[in-house]
Amino acid sequence: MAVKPDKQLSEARAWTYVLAGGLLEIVWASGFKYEAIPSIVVLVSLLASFDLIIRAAKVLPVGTVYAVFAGMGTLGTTIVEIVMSGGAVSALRIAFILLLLACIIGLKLSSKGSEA
Amino acid sequence: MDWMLLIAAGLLEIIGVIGIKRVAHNNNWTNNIILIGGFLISFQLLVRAMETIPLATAYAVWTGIGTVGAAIVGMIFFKEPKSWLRIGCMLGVIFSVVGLKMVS
Repeated sequence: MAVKPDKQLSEARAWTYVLAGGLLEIVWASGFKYEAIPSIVVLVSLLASFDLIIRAAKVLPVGTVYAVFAGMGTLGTTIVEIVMSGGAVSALRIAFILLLLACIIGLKLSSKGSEA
Repeated sequence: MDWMLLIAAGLLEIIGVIGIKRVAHNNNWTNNIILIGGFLISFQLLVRAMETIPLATAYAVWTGIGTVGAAIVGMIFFKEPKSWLRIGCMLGVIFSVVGLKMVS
């Protein structure tokens, strides 16, 4: 985040950053809710995930990066909640969350014009 | 009240996302303050909202509001495409958020 890197990231490397950033996002988002995750872990994963995403967005199309990032966070937090609540999540709520996710991805992927 | 906090958190996230765009183009102090300030307050409100709203719902609604808001800002200020597909997706997000509020 601090300085622009001189040599460009390879696309494969940038995608690895997006995936790692998405996984860390699930950690901090869950940490906001569950006290079992220590604050320091939440803080470090939060900063690291944003740093990774910003680095990746310099090489990859921003809309696509956010779509994958938000998608991982949405699915991840849903899975975490299902596990933490012992499966007590209504099917209707999951359906609304998936519809929301589909619309987010559609919106992000159709934002191409601004990515030049 | 918890839903008001969640919606406010989503709106502040839009400011954070604008910050990301601005930092990506021009990494200066003002843009970093917009990015960090927007997200810091947004996270604070999200944490408060999550005290009562379930994790998956709160997270999905928070990202959804941020996405729709950023798309609207993008269309108005960053010359992003305005298509029926995009408007349909926005309505879909709003529909799902309202649905989630009704079932929780």
